[in-house]
Amino acid sequence: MALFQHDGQHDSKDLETLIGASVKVEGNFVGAGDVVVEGHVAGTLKTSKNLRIGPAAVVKADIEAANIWVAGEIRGHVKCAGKIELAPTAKIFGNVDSQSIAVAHGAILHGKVTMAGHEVAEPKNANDK
Amino acid sequence: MYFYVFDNFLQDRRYESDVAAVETRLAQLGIQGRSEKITILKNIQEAVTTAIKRGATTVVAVGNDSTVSKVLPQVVEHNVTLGLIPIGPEQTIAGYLGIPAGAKAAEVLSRRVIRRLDLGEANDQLFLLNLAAPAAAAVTCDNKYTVTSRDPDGQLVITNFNRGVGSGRPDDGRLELVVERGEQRGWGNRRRGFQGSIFPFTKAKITCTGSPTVVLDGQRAIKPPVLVTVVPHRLEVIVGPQRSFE
Repeated sequence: MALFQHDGQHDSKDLETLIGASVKVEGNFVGAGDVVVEGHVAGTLKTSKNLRIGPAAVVKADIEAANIWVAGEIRGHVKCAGKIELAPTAKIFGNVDSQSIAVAHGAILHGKVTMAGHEVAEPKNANDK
Repeated sequence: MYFYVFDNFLQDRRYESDVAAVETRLAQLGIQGRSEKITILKNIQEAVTTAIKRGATTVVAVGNDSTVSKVLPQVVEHNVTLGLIPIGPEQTIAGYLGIPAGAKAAEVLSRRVIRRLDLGEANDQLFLLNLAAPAAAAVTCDNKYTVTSRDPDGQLVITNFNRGVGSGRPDDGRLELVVERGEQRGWGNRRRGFQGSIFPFTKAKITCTGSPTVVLDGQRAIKPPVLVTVVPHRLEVIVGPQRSFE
């Protein structure tokens, strides 16, 4: 997944939207391809593909994406259909819903984490016993 | 039938040999058609309109980006095919379309590989390449979100062609808003990696305080507010093998 190569370059051919460091976006952003955020976003941020929140990014928005890599700051509810990965510089102030999560040492996560895909399976196992 | 319109600046003596080489090669390939050399006394739009009324089905702009910009409204209005023979400086459009300069372009014309491309429309004026707005402008995309630049030296460009990053194509039914950073404008800096912003959209509104202008295809200036929409697959154009898209 070229989008998640952490070298600061954005050469992925699937990259549809790039919100650079010099830009501020306000409103309800909805994308259909990979999205990279290095700047400021306020409102909501949704994509059916992958989302990368760079180290200098400040996102005050509810977020939805297939997979998310976070190195910047998020203030809002994060909903991830696949995997969310928090780099050491990541800061999330809000609840996280995800299939799977990886948190690096140093990352800050203030909120409730719900592993949506696994909630259903656990009670069934308990009843079987 | 081909109609070749030679732009006014080609009257300059330094282009004499290029023009002669083009005419010779067109004759060799048997696609010379009709032609008109624009002078200060002739209007290029009128010449194109007259030629189309007389049966021209392909209008070939011989010149540069400015020439294409001038003939574009007539070509689109009458649904004819656009060709290009690049001579002189400012050949961004030819570069994207993969058309070599001078007489070699005649071979591209004779192969007649045609693609239908999107156009942009800004306050009822068409553009093929891009629209440039000052950094102070705010752009609201698809009535959903507003993009502003925090870099006073930057520039906002709405582009139809891919500028080397992102997945945009000139036939994908969308335009792209590209926000360039001030320190990145210039080829040397571009090679270090793009650090601006890209937003695909189908409809956008450009607003700006003060009285700046936005510029279409580097040629025509209009004043904000500007409503920009994409006109999908509106232009039929002859392209070369080295074009920047499939």
